[in-house]
Amino acid sequence: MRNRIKVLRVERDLSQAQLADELGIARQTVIALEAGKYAPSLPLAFKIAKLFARPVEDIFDPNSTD
Amino acid sequence: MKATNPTTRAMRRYFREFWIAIAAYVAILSASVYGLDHGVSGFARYVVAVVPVLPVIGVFVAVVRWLRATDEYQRQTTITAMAIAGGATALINVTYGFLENAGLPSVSVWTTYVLFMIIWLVATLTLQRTSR
Repeated sequence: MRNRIKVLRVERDLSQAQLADELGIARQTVIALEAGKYAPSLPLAFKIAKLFARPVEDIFDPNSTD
Repeated sequence: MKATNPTTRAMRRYFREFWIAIAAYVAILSASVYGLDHGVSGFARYVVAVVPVLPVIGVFVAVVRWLRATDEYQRQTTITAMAIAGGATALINVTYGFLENAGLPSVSVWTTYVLFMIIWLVATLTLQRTSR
């Protein structure tokens, strides 16, 4: 699923490892998410949305699935 | 330093438990082989032979604890790789079983375990590479 996680992360000057720590997930998971190779569960999607203070649909493109 | 990321904590705990189990395995297996080579007989021989499975159960428990503690993507990748390894191992075993009917020699049941572990590793690495 396409998303804006990488853009939002870079805007906040966070590394992948820092984002992983903020979300309580592995860095490898951040890599898969940013690559759009993994569609997160609802709880993780909301956690990401909360962290970036954006609605879920602003971050994830529901019209794109892998 | 204490990690705050739960997946990092889970991984550290897994490695700690894994290496403790492996150390126990080496020690118990050595003792078991020594016992079998030095005259343990009767029912005790079976007990001594099977005792090394205890630390292997420890490794299994460590893997399950890691799976429960890690994040959803790691869990999904690992379980998918396990399913692929289980299916592929079963297919290979069945195929070889039929070939035994044609005269190929019987192989040790250890082959199944080794095959599963190798395919699990390859499947995990492949899934991780393709998700970058």
